[in-house]
Amino acid sequence: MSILTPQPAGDSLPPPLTFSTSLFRQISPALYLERHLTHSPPTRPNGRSPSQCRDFTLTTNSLSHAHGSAVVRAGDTAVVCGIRGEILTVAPGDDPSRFESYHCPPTSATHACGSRGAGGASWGGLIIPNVELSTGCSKKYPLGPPGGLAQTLSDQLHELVNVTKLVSLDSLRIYDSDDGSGSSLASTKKIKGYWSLYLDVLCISLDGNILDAAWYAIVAALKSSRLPLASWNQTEERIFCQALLNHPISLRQSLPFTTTFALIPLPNSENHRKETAILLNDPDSYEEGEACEILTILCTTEFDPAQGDSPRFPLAGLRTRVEKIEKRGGWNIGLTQIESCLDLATSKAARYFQSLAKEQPAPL
Amino acid sequence: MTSSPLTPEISLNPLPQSDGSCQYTCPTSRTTILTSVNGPLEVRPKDELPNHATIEVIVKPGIGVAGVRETRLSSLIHSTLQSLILTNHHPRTLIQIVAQIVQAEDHTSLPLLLTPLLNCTILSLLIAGIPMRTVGWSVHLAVLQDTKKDIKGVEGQVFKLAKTGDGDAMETEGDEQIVVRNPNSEILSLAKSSHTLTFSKEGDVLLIESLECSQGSGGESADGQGWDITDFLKLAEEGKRICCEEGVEIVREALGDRKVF
Repeated sequence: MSILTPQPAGDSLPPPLTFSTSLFRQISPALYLERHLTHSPPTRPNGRSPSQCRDFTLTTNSLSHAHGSAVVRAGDTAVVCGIRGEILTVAPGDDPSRFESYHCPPTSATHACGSRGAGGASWGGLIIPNVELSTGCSKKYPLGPPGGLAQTLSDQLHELVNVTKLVSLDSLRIYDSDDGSGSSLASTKKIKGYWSLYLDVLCISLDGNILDAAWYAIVAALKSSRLPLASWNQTEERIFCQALLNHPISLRQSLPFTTTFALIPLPNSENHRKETAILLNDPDSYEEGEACEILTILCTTEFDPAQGDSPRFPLAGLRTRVEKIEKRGGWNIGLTQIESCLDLATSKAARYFQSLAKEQPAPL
Repeated sequence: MTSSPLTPEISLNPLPQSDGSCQYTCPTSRTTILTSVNGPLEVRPKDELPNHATIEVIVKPGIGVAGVRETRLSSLIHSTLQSLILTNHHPRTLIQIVAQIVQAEDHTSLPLLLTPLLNCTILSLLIAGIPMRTVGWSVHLAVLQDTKKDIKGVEGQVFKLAKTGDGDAMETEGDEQIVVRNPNSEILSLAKSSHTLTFSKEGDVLLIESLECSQGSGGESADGQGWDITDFLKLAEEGKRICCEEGVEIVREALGDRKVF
């Protein structure tokens, strides 16, 4: 005899627990993302498809006091990069070749050079990036000394500068102005100093994927920057600058750009052993919070001369060279997925390149 | 000079007071790392997670005070271990990992330090009995720039990979690239690119940190650097083989009769 007879499914059931979408988004981000991504076709909460990146805008030279600057906005991530050139005088005993090489092996000389008051130039050579997040850009990063993310980003950007060898370090030389002899050969001139470039990246608003935005801002700012023409004055024995800013920083021809992907795990109820996951291009901070793996690809695209200089999409006549791959976190991204991500990275790099080419250089 | 042995020197539990510790010396670069793992410990209320253990990784530099580079290293190790350690087995606790760089050729070089740090950390986690999903092993590979150059002291560590000829000029350079395992800083300074690859025992990719590292003064001379993705995939397959076969063997031998697997 059973008292507990199953109730007919009807009015006696308690009303299903319902809450608004915004509440669902707040209380269970993992489930909220999963519901969106298991939809067919998969759509992210922000309306993008998994492989779609955010539109970005670029404004260069908006800061009047910096030698070069760029504001990049991708979705709700906005960063400002300002470039400030400072003069590093070469002391008589210094070996200038040390300054002109990326990845120079550490010697006792470089350690000694670091103590000479050139700020961060000790371990970084002539180009020193720094990232600041503590401007109320996100509620996760309160005001205070730079936290783990800001330090990691600064180091990553510094590594990117070194890996890409973006700036031609020869162009940062400051020569002795030997007007009398008239020899204009670079080899005969004496190097009296260097421009050291401080790349300060300030995050105004942080909504994920700050590395791509910061790197793009740095490339755009370097491309737009103009240094004053500096030379050594023999009578005063000092380096003097002209008031006009007309000395551009020479960069590489093929500019490298980074693309970041985040991997969101989708717990699959039918198959417990192999859980599926989905890769999202250009994640925002909500998606980054749930991501278990981050993949960053740095690549350059070269347009085949045979195809003319107007590259068409998708990827006609593009040759891709990878310069850095960083994958951290879980175990779901396989090597085949990296290969397919590279195609997306290539098209994004091409887009970056085009938008940078459109940007007018500042009038001399 | 005899060819240096391939296997790293591992000494387990050099610190008897910690839950697990390990000292690891890279066979070629002599980079020595000492790690200690303590856990599960009581966690600070600020870092407490309701259904996971908090992992804390502290990298202590060999010289000077910890800086930006050490923060980056510890965040890389942290994100790798996050996926390896079964953090839901000890919720609301702390697993603290301290890695001290004892000796290094270049205290600022990320590629040279990352592989010993990861391997040493994983071994000491095993000793400490922290529940882990699987075991990983890391290998550092350097692709050399100049194939003609004579390299000394690394006889056992060099292997060659066929290169995919992409285009015209490449084929004259020769169709092989020379890869050196666990390079020291001298070899790394000759290298074209450096790849730190970490694979789990099952062959899943845990960490990739690959970067172009050729020397130069930049600007237009840097155009055309980098590598083709097919070359990278081949290299990664080779790295996978090394990690899954030799790496697992090294772990097994080092642990010996300790029943931790």
